[in-house]
Amino acid sequence: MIAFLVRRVAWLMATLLVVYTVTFFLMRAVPGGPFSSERQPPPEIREAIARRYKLDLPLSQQYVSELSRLLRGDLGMSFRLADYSVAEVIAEGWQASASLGTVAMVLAVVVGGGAGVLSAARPGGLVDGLVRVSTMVGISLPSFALAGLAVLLVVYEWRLLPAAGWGTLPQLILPACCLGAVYAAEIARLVRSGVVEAIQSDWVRTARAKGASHSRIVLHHAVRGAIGPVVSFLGPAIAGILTGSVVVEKVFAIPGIGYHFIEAATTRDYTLAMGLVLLYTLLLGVAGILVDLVQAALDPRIDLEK
Amino acid sequence: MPTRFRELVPFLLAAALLAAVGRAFWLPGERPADFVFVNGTEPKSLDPQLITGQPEGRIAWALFDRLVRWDPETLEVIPALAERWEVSDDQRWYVFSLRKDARWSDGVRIDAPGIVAAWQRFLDPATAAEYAYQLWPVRGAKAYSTGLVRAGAMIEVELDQRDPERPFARGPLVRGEAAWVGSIAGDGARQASDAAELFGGSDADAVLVDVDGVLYASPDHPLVAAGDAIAARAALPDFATTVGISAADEHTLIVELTEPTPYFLHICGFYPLSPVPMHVIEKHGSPGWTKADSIVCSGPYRLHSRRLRDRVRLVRNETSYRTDEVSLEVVDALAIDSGATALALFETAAVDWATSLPPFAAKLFIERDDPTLRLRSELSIGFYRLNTTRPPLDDRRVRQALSRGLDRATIVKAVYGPGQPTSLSFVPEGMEAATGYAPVQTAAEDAAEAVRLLAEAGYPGGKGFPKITITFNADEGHQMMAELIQAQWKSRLGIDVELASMEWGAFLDAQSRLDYWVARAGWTADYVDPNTFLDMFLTDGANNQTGFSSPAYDRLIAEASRTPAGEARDAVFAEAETILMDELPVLPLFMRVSKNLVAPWVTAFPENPLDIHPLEAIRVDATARDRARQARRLRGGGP
Repeated sequence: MIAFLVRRVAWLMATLLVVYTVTFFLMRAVPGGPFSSERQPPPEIREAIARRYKLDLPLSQQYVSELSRLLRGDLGMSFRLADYSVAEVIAEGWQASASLGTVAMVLAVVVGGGAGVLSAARPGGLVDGLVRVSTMVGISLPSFALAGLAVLLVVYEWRLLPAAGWGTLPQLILPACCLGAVYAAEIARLVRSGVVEAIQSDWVRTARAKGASHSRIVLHHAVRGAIGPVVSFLGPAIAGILTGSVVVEKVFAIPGIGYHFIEAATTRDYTLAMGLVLLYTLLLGVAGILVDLVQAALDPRIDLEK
Repeated sequence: MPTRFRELVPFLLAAALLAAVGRAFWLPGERPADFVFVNGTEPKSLDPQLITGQPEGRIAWALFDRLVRWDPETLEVIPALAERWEVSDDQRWYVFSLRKDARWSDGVRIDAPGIVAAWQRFLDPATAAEYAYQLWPVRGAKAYSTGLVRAGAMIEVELDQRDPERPFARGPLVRGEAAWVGSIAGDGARQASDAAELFGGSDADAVLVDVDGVLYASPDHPLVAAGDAIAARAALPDFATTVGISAADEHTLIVELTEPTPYFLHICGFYPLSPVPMHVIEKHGSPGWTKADSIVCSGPYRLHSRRLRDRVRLVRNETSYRTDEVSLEVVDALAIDSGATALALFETAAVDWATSLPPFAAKLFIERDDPTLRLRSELSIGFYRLNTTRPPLDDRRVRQALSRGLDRATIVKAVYGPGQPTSLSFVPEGMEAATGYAPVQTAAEDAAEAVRLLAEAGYPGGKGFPKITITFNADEGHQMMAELIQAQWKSRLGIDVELASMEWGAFLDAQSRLDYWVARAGWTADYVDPNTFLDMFLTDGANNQTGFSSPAYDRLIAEASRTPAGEARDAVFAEAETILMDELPVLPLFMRVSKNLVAPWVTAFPENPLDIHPLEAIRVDATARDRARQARRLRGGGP
């Protein structure tokens, strides 16, 4: 267990360094910079600004100084949100993204899991058909289309919920549904196939022979067989959902880090983009480790030391 | 996994969920704002000296007062912090008499020495203000803001000492003549250099200056550790003696210009020249002073709170001498840059003003003559740059042919709908009403003449014309315009043009490196004077970006900057624009129109060609607004 953790954390650190290095040079290889503007100041001012932010140094020197700052635990100041440090931006955006992501994920697990079980209970039935069609739609519909459709119907047509913004509970509902829908569809699919497979297994036949009812078999025995793939899916999915959704956050004007991420990339906000890439890598890595731990706890056949 | 822990998991999840949601929605006692508007992208900063964009400007106009203001309708200069001013006959000296009742929102008086210090910060290279060049007409300001220090010049050396009471204040100054500037090698050999940069600068670590026999260097210089030099944070030209900004007394500010600059007074009303509260900046530093619990303001509003990419909340500033002009107590500026989202909020009565709308909606609103859409020609021009360094565009006749082969009216109407005027001059027509300067137009559309010019340049019927490309930043409207222009050049001139859509940063980069043939562009006046458009095309001007260079043109623009405002100066500008409209390094296409969505219950909404709408001048019929909100109220509860 300890050896496993040490090994994985070491790998994660190495991954972070590689991701940081690659992103650093990629960002700077892209044309333009944090001070590109349609309205160019005179060259003397441009040079003064470059000097002030040390953008005039050779890339290798910039890399070394940025990395040493990072190793001291300082992510630096944002270029584009000049009143904030990267840490402050992440702290503020994280609250919105994490709240939205948590609600969306709980919705996805409850709705997706429920639909998957219902669907698997009577394969080929009416409920199964409905669930299979909606999961197909949910998986294939891009989130900007889903969000656009939701705004048209719920906001413009029925006037049920506010169009955008952040701060009240009604403002959370629509984006959480749009964000959760894709995950719900994926979970429903995984749960359905897991349960269907389990129902055909020997141990379920044994349970049935012992006289267990159909609902008990589905809810008590077969669902357990479906948990494994869902947990594997949830690890990266939680990391992804917590770091925010670019599309949903933009459409519903939610001040989360997904929105910050895309803005940081397009405005060449080097420090903010680097900070968010690191955060994303870290979350994905940690989620991967957690998934393995949970899998091992759930399934005695898995040995972490191997 | 032990059963008991597994049983706890759902409860833990639920608790985490509740905590996360609660944390996000814990907003202590916020009341709805009296006025909500969509401000566009998140402001870069609240520091008026560091910003350049319009969303930033809308906040800065409300939070910070300037020496003078612009009338919200006519843009005429009117008194603000300066209650009156005198200008010398040669237009080089300005004496501003400040009003005595102006205070920061913490009660501290706004006086002339404070404004001098604030402008000094604006020019300081360490501040790195992009708009610092706006003050370059002032004597010595350019040298100060670029940090040029030469041997023999009067300089100020800022010692590396901090005052614990004001940790971000400048250190004590040593002033004197720089006897020597340069670097000293390990063996003690002195290498004089012509100019030293800031000690904080990247390549300046080795630089030392000698004042009255004492050496000064950056704190990490080896000679400082050895005790042979004194640690200093910066060496700059001596502000007090070399820069023409000074306070004669508490209430008198004197500014000396290098040349008569007719638009200088107007610039004094521009937001980057807003005095900033030095007493707060010295205490909290930058950007620390911009936080809601530190910032103090001088404008009709002060900052209440700010949530990144959500909103900036402004409240009436009771200490402003203009506080009685304010009718909207609480104003929310939403940071929303998606046009579709802004439109949805406006249509559901969640916002009272949207500062722009997506092109598809604009066309729809114009066609149905919707009264909530306010169209207004701006001092702003949409144009194409032509790269005059690349054949075949280096031939003036080719550029003229490209211009005369265009039916601007059809193209502009197809892209933006009716109500978008075309332009044959680079200075927008609105300049005449604002300043009296009548813009000079390029030759009008004439397809036959265009064909003749092209043939004269060696491409009869477009034969042999190299393939050129129109480059634009990815956008539906820009794409459509480029396609129409491509089609017209093909059918009328017989030339083939390719289109290239680029991402914004890469597009700007390609333009500034002259790596293009034809590129879409736009320019909006910084101040109300033809110079803001015409000085772009000085040889090697930062915003020229066409390779255009004409000594005659450069001479005329320089002459205009020496000429006091009036007909003589307008004639010089007209002569310059005639050259520009004959040489055509740019193809003027259309005058940009501001498109504001303003709710019907807004009773006063001043408009002007710079698209500035001071919040303190906006009035709202609160009864009508509440009635409308009630009628359109969402069943699920409004924001």
